[in-house]
Amino acid sequence: MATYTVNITSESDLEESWSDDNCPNFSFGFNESSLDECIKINETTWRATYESMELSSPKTYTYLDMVNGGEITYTLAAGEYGVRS
Amino acid sequence: MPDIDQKNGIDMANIASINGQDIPASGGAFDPVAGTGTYTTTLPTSGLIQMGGAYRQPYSESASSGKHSGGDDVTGFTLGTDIVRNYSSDVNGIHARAATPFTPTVSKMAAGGYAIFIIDTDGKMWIAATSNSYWGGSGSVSRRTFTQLTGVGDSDTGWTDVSACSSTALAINSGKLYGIGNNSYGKFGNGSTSSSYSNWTQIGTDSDWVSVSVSQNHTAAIKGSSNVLYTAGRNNDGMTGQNTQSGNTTTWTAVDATNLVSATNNNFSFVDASYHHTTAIQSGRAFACGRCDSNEPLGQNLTSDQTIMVQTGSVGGTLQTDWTKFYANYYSSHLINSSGHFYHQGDGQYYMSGDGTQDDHKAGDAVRTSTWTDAEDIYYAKGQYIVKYLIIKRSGKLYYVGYTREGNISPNSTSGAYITSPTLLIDSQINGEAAIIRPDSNSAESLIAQYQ
Repeated sequence: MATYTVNITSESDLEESWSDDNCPNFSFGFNESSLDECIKINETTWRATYESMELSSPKTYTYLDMVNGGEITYTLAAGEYGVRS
Repeated sequence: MPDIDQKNGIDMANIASINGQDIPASGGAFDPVAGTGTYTTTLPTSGLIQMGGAYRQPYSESASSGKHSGGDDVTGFTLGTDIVRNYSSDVNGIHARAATPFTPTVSKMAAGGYAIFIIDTDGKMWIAATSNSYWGGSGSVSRRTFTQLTGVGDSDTGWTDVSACSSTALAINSGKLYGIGNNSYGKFGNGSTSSSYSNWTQIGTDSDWVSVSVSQNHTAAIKGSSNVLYTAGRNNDGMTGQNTQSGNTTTWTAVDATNLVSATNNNFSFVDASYHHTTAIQSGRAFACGRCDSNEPLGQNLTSDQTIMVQTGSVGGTLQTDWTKFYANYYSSHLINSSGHFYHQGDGQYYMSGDGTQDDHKAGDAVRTSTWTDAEDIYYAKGQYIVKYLIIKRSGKLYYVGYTREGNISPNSTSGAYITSPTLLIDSQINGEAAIIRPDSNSAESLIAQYQ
């Protein structure tokens, strides 16, 4: 997994989560949950971090279909996922 | 002040009351400074017994009622005017219990930071909570008494499992999964991270959930006629077994089967989600994933995080096939087999080895640290980053081992900050289970269990 840094301006920014259409059973977010855990850049800016998901080989996931019931199985190709756009 | 044995010919020990205040029999003879004399106390012996906790009063209970105002938003302190309330202290001064009458027989019990959930043997759910945020029924809930939850799920007598931690609870009614409270990291597994306070949210539509376990940041469950193991929530430490430590599994996903029996995810009979790990039993074999380091908490000489389930629980170099329970914490893990034997693997800090020592068991094998043949279960503070004490259930009785101050739950001992060997905590037959309440914001933990 690769670690990314993002500059934020408030603690509420840490609540952001994002998804990757390639892996719909996952979401991604920042490692820190408070500004105290972030590196302070200046009086209004802090540095938060997150990790992407990297697969070195294809992987099959089976997750539940929460709307229709049953299961959904898919194979995720090797690569990096969950990078914040 | 001089000691006074008599006044006007009356023995001081025979004075029953002064100004209307009853004096316990023989109470006057006890000198708490010198530790001499006798002090007769009455400990409650029935109902739901609560022990420990720094705050033994309901939150916001007015001082004028004779109780202190609560210092934190704490539940589990189910005390009130209609409640047996025998605080008592023996010569060691640390033994306190309070009791709440509770007639139904407990089948399952779980505690979050702000609520206690009980399923009785009739399949009814009973809740005590600090607010309606963890109630979800009609009317209001009480923090002082248990109220039956009705109108949630297919049947008011259809509850079969419940697990809680911090501000989240998941429960199963008629095979359907419901959640209430905090849904951070998507640990409801419903594809969302939106919380559901004050309402039980049905998770998906399936009706074949078997059991569920909630931890601080993730959840685990057994589901379907094949007993498949699923996880949801934060992937940190690899504790969801999804082959990643990044992001969150927001929809219930079957754990990676690579290392499972016949590389197939089925036949799970037990699962526990703890702060850093998921532990489970598949066909009598112990499997786990999550945090590993030099403490080797999962045994097998595993010193790096395991992001998919790995088999553990070897004895004499042979992986065992008769495990029934498996719990992991920060430094070590514990197993119970079908013969009621208790095993430890990993670091022995906080006397977690269970044999009166802090010896490590890092040679790869799980080590049987007692001669017990009646170990039934283990209770610990869900949501604790580092678990420092355990409650071990043997033949229906509870034993305490580990750091006493963390739990604020002490047997009759002042031997130090640790109870070094598992020590009888409640000398009575226990119905059902016990649970440890741990509010988010402090360590005022307390134990609740049922006395017959």
